[in-house]
Amino acid sequence: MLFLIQKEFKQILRNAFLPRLIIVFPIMVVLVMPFAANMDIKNINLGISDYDKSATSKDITQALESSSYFNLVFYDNSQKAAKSCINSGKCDIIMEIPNGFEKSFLRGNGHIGIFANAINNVKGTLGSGYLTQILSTQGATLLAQNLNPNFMDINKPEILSHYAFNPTLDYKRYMIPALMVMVMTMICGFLPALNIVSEKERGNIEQLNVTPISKFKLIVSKLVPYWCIGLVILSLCFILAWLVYGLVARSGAAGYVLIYMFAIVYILVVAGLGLVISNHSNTMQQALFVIYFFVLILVLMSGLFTSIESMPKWAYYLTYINPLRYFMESLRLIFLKGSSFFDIWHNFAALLTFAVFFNLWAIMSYKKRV
Amino acid sequence: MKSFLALIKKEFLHIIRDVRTLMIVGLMPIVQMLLFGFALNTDVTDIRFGVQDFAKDNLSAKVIQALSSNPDFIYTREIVSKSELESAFNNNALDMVLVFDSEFARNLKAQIILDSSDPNRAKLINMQALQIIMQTLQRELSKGRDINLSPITPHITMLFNPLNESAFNFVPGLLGMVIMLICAMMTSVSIVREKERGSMEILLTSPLSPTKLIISKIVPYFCISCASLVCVLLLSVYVLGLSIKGNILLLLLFCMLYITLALSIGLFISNLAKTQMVAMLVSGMVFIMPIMMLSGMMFPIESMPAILQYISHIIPTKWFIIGVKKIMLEGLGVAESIREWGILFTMLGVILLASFKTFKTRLA
Repeated sequence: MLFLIQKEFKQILRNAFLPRLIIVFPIMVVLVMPFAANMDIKNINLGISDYDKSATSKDITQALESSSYFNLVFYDNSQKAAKSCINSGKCDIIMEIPNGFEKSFLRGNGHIGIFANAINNVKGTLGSGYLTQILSTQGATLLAQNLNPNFMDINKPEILSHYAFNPTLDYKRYMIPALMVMVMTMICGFLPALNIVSEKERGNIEQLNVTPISKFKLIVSKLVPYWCIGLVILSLCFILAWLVYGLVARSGAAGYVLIYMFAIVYILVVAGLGLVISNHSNTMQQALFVIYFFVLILVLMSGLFTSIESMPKWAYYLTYINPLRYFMESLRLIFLKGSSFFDIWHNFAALLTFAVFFNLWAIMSYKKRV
Repeated sequence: MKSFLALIKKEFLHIIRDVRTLMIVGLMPIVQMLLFGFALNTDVTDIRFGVQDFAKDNLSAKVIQALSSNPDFIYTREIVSKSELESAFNNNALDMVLVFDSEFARNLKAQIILDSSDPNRAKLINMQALQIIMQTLQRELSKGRDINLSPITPHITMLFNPLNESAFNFVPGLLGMVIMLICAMMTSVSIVREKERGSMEILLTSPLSPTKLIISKIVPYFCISCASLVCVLLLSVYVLGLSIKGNILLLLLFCMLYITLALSIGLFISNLAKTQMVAMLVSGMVFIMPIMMLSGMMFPIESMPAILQYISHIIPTKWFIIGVKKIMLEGLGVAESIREWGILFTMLGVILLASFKTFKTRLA
């Protein structure tokens, strides 16, 4: 069996393309992608149609212009220009200050229209939200300057928001663990999926079948290399995350031990899934299509990019059969919040079940008869 | 011409006789569109919040009640001690904790603590919670007195997407990704497989020119892709609830242009790759990342650093998404989307030229 493992390693290492892929792909992803994976909404292009042209409306315009969220791209009082601005995609939000705004504002009752391009609904919601916030604080200060007695006699509400675990709201902290997992899933899923079926296509599966080695040993020897590869990738990613982004697990060494524990089991799950697909496919193209299908589902339905709480109920229940969901959740909890094993032991149990299930299936479905 | 048709027929037969692959190729886009169209969702709902109430007065109770009665917020539990607050987020059971100052009724001081491991979710929750709290305070405090906490009332209109659905944002991206990956994966093996199996020699000795050979490889896949394109579009209209505001013909033409581009990219890979394994890993795995990350499907391109924004220009999916959003969702015509058409056409020209150049008529 040791020889068999050695053979698998050699097969991978002597391939001209695979070792490079295994090293370069994670490095590229960890170095480049966190900069791209940023759902932060900034640089919202704002257009203002000001029909009032009063001191107040100009004050508000100025306040918005100096805010870091908005770029003022358009300031006019023509409806047609505003419409073409939003149609051509130059403006994301149009704010309309109606005629006579100042007068009603000083009575404490101003109205402003906000029109947001909501095709990207997060951008629309957040953009108009920021706008509302700025309007209300700016409005309050302006009104206080004008000494409105109604406004002075009570305490203003003071509600502080505290962003725990990620006070600067940095998207990298959220995305880097996700990207690591994604790379691991892809490499440890795609490669095993192509493994057995490529032996089939080349015809040397027959040589394997006539050896006295049992199915169990055969599958294990196929798993071990990917296991090592997965752990190498993970370590590489951790080192890079620490060197480049200064990101370390919240609970230190204990956290890393816990993460590796989860990773060891998780790689078995993915590689097992890959081998199952490989067993059931006739050509490499089939295997690739199927594993691509599953990897995409695993990745997009795991809460990696969009939170699973936002999914509709049926989709949320579907994520219970997604091993990546458990791994992703645990990794973020350990990495960002420093949770202990007792907080997340049920995730570990779930992953273990998946690992046993897929690998048993891989062993059962391997047929020595052609 | 006759031999050319025969060649196309041969390619068709190749595909149709491999029923399993055909099934996968046909079903995959449909299942993916359905799953992701619903599941990829950035709406913030089911916000579980806890309360640490030092005030325990009428006003704080009113605020809690207002939050709990909102369908998006779920009151989960009360937090009593400080240590409980510290570990409250550790098992993902809470999204937000609301802390009231002991003198809340007088000084109106409160704090919202958010689990911000997901920054956008935290921000959206914060915004919603603040809005509800302010409304409640306004209502409660203005009883009997003429007080206006905020002198400006904004009226917000969501254009093009009145119900504020995530599908509007994700569907064009999904369309772009699914088409690109499947098309590229289908054609990327087509030539390299003939090389590996040895049947390339036969093809090369035939009197057909390389141009015809390459085109005959594209045609069948083009038909399949168009069929699945129609399915996917029907799904997004009738199941996901998107409406095609623009000209359907224009949209279809635009998608076909994109499909041809995706198929040519696959062929190009196939020309360069030495083995099927490499061709498939490149078209399947290496492509997913940039398409998902840099095309603007998930992450807004405007928020990226400048270098990545430049890199994103060479990703066809980016232009496809912009074009589809314009034509399908905003209902604009050719004039407004001329840039996207132009770019995709140029890319197609370059890739096809490169494929012809790299197609070797001699075996090494």
